[in-house]
Amino acid sequence: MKCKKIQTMTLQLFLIIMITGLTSLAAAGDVKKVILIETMPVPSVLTHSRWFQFQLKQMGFERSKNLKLTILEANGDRQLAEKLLKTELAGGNPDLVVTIATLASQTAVKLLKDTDVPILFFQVSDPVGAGLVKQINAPTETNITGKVFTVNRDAKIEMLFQLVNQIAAHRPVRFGYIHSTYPSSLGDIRELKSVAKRRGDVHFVSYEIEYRNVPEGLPAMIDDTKKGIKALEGKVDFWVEPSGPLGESFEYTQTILKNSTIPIAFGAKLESVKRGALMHVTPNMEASGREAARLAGAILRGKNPGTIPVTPPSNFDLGINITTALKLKIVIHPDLLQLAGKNVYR
Amino acid sequence: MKIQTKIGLGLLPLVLLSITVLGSWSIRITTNGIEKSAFQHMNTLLDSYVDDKIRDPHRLLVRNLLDNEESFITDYQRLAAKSAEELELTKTGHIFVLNADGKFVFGNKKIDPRLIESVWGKHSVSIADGTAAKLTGHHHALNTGAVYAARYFEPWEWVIFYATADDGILAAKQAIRNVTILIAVFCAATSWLLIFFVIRNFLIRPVGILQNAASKIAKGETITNIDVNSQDELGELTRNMEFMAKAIQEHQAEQKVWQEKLETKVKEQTKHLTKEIDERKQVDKALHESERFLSAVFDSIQDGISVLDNEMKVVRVNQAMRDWYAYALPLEGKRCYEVYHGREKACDVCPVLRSTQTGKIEMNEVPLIQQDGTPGTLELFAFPMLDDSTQVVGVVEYVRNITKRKHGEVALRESERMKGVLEMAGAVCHELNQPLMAIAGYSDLMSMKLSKDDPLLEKITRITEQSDRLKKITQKLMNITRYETKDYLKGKIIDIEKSSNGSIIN
Repeated sequence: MKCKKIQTMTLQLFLIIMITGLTSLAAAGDVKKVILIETMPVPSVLTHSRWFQFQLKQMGFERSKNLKLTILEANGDRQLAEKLLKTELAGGNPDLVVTIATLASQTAVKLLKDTDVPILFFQVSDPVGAGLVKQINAPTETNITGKVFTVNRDAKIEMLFQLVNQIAAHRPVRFGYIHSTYPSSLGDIRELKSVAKRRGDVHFVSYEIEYRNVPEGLPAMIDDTKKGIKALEGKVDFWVEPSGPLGESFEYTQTILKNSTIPIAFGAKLESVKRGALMHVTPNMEASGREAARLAGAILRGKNPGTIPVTPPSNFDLGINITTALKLKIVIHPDLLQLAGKNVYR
Repeated sequence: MKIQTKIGLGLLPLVLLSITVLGSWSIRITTNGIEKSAFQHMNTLLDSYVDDKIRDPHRLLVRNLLDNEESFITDYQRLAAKSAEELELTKTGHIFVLNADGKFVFGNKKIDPRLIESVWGKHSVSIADGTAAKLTGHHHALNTGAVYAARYFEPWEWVIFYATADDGILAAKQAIRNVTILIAVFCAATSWLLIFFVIRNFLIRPVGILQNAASKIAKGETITNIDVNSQDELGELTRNMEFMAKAIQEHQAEQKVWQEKLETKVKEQTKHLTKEIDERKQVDKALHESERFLSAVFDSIQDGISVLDNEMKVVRVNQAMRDWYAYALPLEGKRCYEVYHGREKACDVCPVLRSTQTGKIEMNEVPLIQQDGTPGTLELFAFPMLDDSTQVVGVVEYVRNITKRKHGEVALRESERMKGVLEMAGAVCHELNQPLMAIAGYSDLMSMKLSKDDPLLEKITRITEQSDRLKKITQKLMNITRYETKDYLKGKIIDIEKSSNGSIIN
């Protein structure tokens, strides 16, 4: 009697497994395979990644249902990124490769350029300089598209100048820019210097240090930063934090504030403003992540990435540190104060 | 005077009056509107300026706890003053700010601050302390006069003025008045001409054409086209009139054909009717003659005939009835039992009543009081008159006076009875005479043989006497000629004496 009951239960279990398996197989045809490569675990990358996945889910792409999302963490190491991606590609081409920040994007483009695997990049401040695309605001006509993550340098310098001009004793106003050789940092300083040269009322004094993979290479870069501070002491009126992994680290801001009496006029991240930088302006990361997810959704539903133009961001975050402003006797223009909204810190 | 002249003259005062009223109203509304619009413009501009350049920046300062930071306040006020210079104002428009003490703060025109303070200082103080009646109005302190709008911004104790000379408004009012009058005159003339032209060309002319067309139609003239081609109601009326004219013409032609046909038919019918009338006359004559004949027959019948309806009322009677019941004429309309029998209801044995009920021929004899008062007898026959559904609709009552016949029958019965009696008496007498003769003979023989004293002689004499008596009786019986009776015991017997003619053989 007991034996017969066990047999019945076994049969029921078998049937359940069979039905579940068949259902899974039926649904398998709708599952999209997406590889997401995060350049390094810095706040901006992680925030972008979080909003990207959140928006994907809101659009109906869920990892437990119709989305097979593989996240590759490159840790700022180009070789590691390449290795991880190759390994993943060996298991078959994905429906989409999404990259966050420049290093991951360059790796994906290197391995998959001119293939039928779509590449979507975001949080890249200079995609043209990084060699990802030929131009902004135009369809790429390749398998690559993405979103630019930068603020127009002219606008950025003008805002900065309007503030520091109130107290700067030296003309042109000199900004110190200690940066690594990370691609976006190099592109950023190149653009800033170009604008400064055109304006003539500002001047960027740069100090370049070798880029090392983060997080393990960060202490070494911080040591080099200290050297840069010493090297530029007396030659600059304000600091401007560089884009890229070094400028986005807390340690960098902390090092400047601790080792220099020169105020940070422009922080690379909102966190810098909270810690004492006068201002910060950057594309809104939530908007940027969500926008990238919308593009990913369109590509997964069949849109050709070559028809999607690479466009600059439309939402920005402006941060102001009032304490710093009052200390420097800088009056913040009502328009900037209005734009900063809740990101006004003391 | 033609209708168009009347309309033209009638319209002229109407148009002039309308334009005058409209122009006056327009001037009043427009001039009021200019002033209202000037104030509205000043208020809108001033509110916009105060909100955007003063209140909003101040809110930012408050929100960020900077409203006590002198550097920020001074700079934001400087920005507000600078913004005032960028405002697009009217030619004489001037934005300036005085503080709550009436002291000049800034202005967007290079005017001596002391002059501004002298003119607007008190007003500024009254606005700041809330005693000013209005924040907009006229200011007549200057030679030219001015209109102004003001706002008080308490956090900075600023009274912000927007003033402009009112000569511009007055000039605009005058210009509008002049232009309005000019336009009104032009409009009046144009309107009059336009209305006149419109009425004349689109109303009077088509109506005239339609009137002529209607007149022609009324006269029966042929109309194929009416020269009104507009697409309005008159055009529609014209099309309808054309259609109506065409229809009338078609109807007239059709009517003519029908009239001819009708006349032909009338002639045929008249001929036919004449023939029918002749025939009818002949039939009527024949009927009349037949009626007269039948009436003559009806009246010539010596027996009475009454035609009765179902209620037993007399419908018609013949002459005999009229003669019999001459005392009750006319008989028609009266009930038969009332007029014929003097009764209030029908007789129990009335054959008419039975015939009405049975639908069959009924007969009865009824008593009659004759004109001389003697009793008589009537024989009544009731013949039912049936309609197509065999329902009785009346009764023909046939009345015959059978009094004489009845008397004849009685006499005949008496005569036959007398004949029997006589034959019986003759036979009895004949049979009695033989034995009687024998008795008398033998008695005589016996008397002759007897002596006179013989006691039997007397008896025999008596037998002889009685035999003679019997002989007389038989002779009387033999001479009976009529039937007379007399009482005998409880009944009646023939009275031989009276019935005999007296020629009794003794």
